[in-house]
This record gives sequence, C-alpha cells and structure tokens, in this order.
Amino acid sequence: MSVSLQDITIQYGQLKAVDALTAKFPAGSTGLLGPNGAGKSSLLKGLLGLVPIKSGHASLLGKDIHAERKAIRQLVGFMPEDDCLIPGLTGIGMVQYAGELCGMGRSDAMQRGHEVLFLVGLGEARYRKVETYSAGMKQRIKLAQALVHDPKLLFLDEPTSGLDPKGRMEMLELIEMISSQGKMSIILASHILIDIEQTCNRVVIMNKGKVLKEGLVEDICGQYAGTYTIRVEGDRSAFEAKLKKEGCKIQHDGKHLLEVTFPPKKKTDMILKIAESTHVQLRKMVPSVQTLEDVFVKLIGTDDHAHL
Amino acid sequence: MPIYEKSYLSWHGQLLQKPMTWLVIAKTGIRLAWRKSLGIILFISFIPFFFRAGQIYIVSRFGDEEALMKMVRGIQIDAEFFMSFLKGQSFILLLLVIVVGAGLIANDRKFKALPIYFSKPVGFWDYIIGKLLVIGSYGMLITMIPALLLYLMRALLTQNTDFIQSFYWVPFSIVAWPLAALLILGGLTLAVSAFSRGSRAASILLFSIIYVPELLRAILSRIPDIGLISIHATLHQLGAIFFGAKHPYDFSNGWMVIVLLGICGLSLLILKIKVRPTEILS
Repeated sequence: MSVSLQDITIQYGQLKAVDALTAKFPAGSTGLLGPNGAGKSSLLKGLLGLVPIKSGHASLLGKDIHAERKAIRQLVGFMPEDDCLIPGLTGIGMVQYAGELCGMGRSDAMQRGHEVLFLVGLGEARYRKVETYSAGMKQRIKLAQALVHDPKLLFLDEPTSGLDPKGRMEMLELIEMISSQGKMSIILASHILIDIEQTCNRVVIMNKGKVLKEGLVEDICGQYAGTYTIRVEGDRSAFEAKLKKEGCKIQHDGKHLLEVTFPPKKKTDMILKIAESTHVQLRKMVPSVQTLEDVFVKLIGTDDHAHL
Repeated sequence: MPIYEKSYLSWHGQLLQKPMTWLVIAKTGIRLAWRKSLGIILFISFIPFFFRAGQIYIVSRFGDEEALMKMVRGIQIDAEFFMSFLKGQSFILLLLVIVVGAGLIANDRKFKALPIYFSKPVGFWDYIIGKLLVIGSYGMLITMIPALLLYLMRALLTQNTDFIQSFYWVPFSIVAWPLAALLILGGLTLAVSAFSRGSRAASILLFSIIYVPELLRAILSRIPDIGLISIHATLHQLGAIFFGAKHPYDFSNGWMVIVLLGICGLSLLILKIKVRPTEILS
C-alpha cells in the first residue's frame, strides 16, 4: 500500500478543505479527481507536511506522516500546481539543486539532472535560466525536479495546468510512460477527467473534502453500466410507468430518447415484455457508454444536491 | 557522447540518510548572490585591510626608523586597532548585507519556490540557517577573516611574544563581534526579505531600517539614549564591550541587550509567519 489515510482533516480557519477523509492508495497510478476546491491539493500538501493536518493518521510507503516527515519527503517527488521556480538557476542547476536537497551527491545529482531533463524534453534548454522558460517548460522543469531523486511515490498536482493541447498530450504521455514502467507509484490530482482516464488505472473521486467513490476506473464505470438509451413509438406514459414500477430510473433527453437505468439483477429482456404489454414499438435500444465523466457528473451532481 | 533513451531510467545510487540541506542551500545561495556590484563592494572593503596591513608592517619591521615612523605616527597595534578596523568595516558590512540578503527569501517567495524546498527534506531551520550562512559567509569575508589575518600578521612580524601575551584574547573578540553582528543583522535582513515581495522592495526597506535611524541619531544626538534607535550604534556599543573599550554611546548595556534581543525576536517571529511552504488565503 503506497498511501493509507485514516480520518484526515485539514482545516483553514473555519473551512474544512479535507473532512475526515479515509482512503487507500495502492501501488500503481491513482487519480485524485474532483472539482476545484474539492481538497485534492490540500490533501497532497498535507501528506507532505506543507499544510498542517488537524487530525487523523496517515502513512506513506509505511512511514507515519507525523513522525517521519523528512524521510517521507526523501521518498516522494512533488510537482506543485503553481509555477514554482528557484530564481537565478539554470534548468540543470535547479534540478541538480533539487537532487542535492533530497540527499544526492553533487555529481550524481548533476548526472541525473541531465537524464531527467532529456526525459522531460528540456535537454536543449537546460542551460537557460528558469525564469525565461515558457509555461510548458515550467511544467516540465517541475516534473524534472520531482523525478531527479527517483522517488518511490510521485505526487502530481494538476500537471497539465496551463499547457496548450500539444503540451498537454506530451505531458500525459510522459506520465503514462513513467507510470507504465511500474517503478514508482503516482497520485495525480486533477479536475480534468481525460487526464486521469489516460494515465491512471485507479481513481478516488473527491468533493468538498470527502471521498465520494474510489476504485478501479473500469469498475467504477461498470457500476453504472446498466443504463440503456431507448427510443419508443406509441404511448410512452404507460411504458414509463411500468418501468418505474420495476425500479428503473428514467431520464428524458427532451425529444424521443429515454435513458433507462436498470436496477441490479434485472434482465434487459424485461424491457421487451413491458413494451409488448404496453403496445409501444421499441425502435432503438443500445447500452449507454459510461465514461468516467458520466460517473463524475452523476456523483458530483448527487453530492451537491444532497448538500442543498 | 552518451546516448539518452526517451524512457524513464531508475537511479541506483544511495540517498544520504540525513542530508545537510542547510549546507546545500548555503552553497547555492553563495553562488547565486555573486554579482558585479558585490564584487565592487568586496574590492572596496579590502582597501582598508591593505592599508592596515601596511601600517602593521611598518610598525613591526621599521619601528626604529624615525622617518618611516612619522608615516604611522600615533598608531598603536593594540585591541583598539582591531576594533577600529572592524568598526570601519561595519559600514561596508551593512551595505553588503543589503546587497546579498535582500533577495534571499523575497525572490523565493516571488517565484513561489518555498513548496519546492519544503517538499524536500528541508525543515524551517535548515532553510533559515542556509540563508543566514549566505549573509554570514560574505560578512565574515570582509570582517572576521581580514581582522584575523591582520592579527596573525602582527603576531608573526613581532620579534617577541609580548604582543600575543598582551592580546591573546583579541582573536576571540575578533570572532565574537562579527558573529554576533552577523547573526543580528542577518536575521533582520532575512525577516525584511521574507516580508517583501521582491528584492528591490526589500533593499529599500532594509536601507530605511538601517540608515534612517542612524541619520536621526546623528541629528538628534543630544537626546539621551537616542543611540538605541540605531542598529549601527547598538552594534558598535556591542563591539566596544567585546574589545573592552570605552563605550561610544551613553545608553546602558542592559537596554542595548534588550534592543538587540528584541530585533532577534521580532525577526524570528516574522520569519515564522512568512516562511511557509504554502500561502493560505483567508
């Protein structure tokens, strides 16, 4: 288990950014998904000791976050969301400096710095001052400084923030490549679903400081798989009434299509029988494709509705 | 020419269990602080050293030759000689502290570098000590080190051991006064730097804090204890205590200690508040 959290609360004044959060992040790549203000960044910062944790226990790579903070920081690479740079240094200077701060020898940090800068695509710009870097280059140098000491666990906070489409794609490919080698676990915090879908096999969905759902991406999408898009001709009211009676949830698209979600353990041939009994013609019946976005929208929508 | 693969390669080295991050911060800070203006300040600061070295050489080697002694008339190579040298250097030290120290934390805050530091095994004190050492290193280069060299020069050039026997305690004073002054000035500089967003603002603020009270003290010198408002004056008084010399100002040592401790305490408080890895907006 890479990260284990038990009732973690992070509070800024009266605002609870993370509210008694309990979750587990096994080895591999996990996406921390949630809207802005969900508490994703606060959670990552809290785990590194960058913001105070009010209550709760957590362990990273088997180390207690309260007792072994410095040891944890040596094992974790953190790519912050903001444009964090060390002014006055060149690209290679900054990455080397980051390596030395983590406990690498000077020459090791220098050699490794060159390697990771080539990896992130800054090989040609490594002798330029970091202040002169473009937004995309700043993202890459932040990733490089997080990777230089070969961490066991990598925290990426909105890694594609501020990137153009090409830069975004390249950054995601880079993360995917690092993740696919299986040598380090990754926790990627983002509100962009595609980023997480592309790079992570597990997801923890957060809203208002709490976990709404966690698990494998395919499992979470699969939980909502019993939904079909249906088009019928004839008297729809009786047909819908019978479906509801059987426990189905129905959503209208405003025209002719219905989104019907079956309750668990109900077979889809039930719909044919209901159509026959209510004398409607079934013109279309296809399974709705559930993406992580659908799940996310549903969960966030339900959660927000519950808070109103 | 190595061939770089476009794939992630693990590093098989061993990280230090307890890295001395303060030393890494200090070394990098010393390198980054170097610029042309600093070179000029250092060059100017060494002129008094060579002048004093010349005086020592003449007094030590040609003490019997009247013509040469006329050039250095009235010069006594005693504790006050070294105190006077350090007192002269303290003016340049204040300037150097502003040039070196103003941007040390201000630039890190401006470029949001603090999360980078504190996501590594760097603690608050590692960061502060590292930055303080940057100021301290340059500061010692123009105060303690030349003063010790002058002492050593005098000791080596003197034909007998009278000088060492009489002034054996002077090296301790030469070390203690600059150390205390650098600790106080360095802390204040870092606090002002942490308080400001940008090195220019920090420089102006530091200049105001250091020189304006000194100017006021000079203008309002008839007011009793006015010297306490000037960090320059309080540090001189401290120097006089270390060298066992006559106190240059009329304020009491007790008040001086309170003022200097107050500056240290306030600096630490500001640093504790401002040096945070993440700015939490209310």
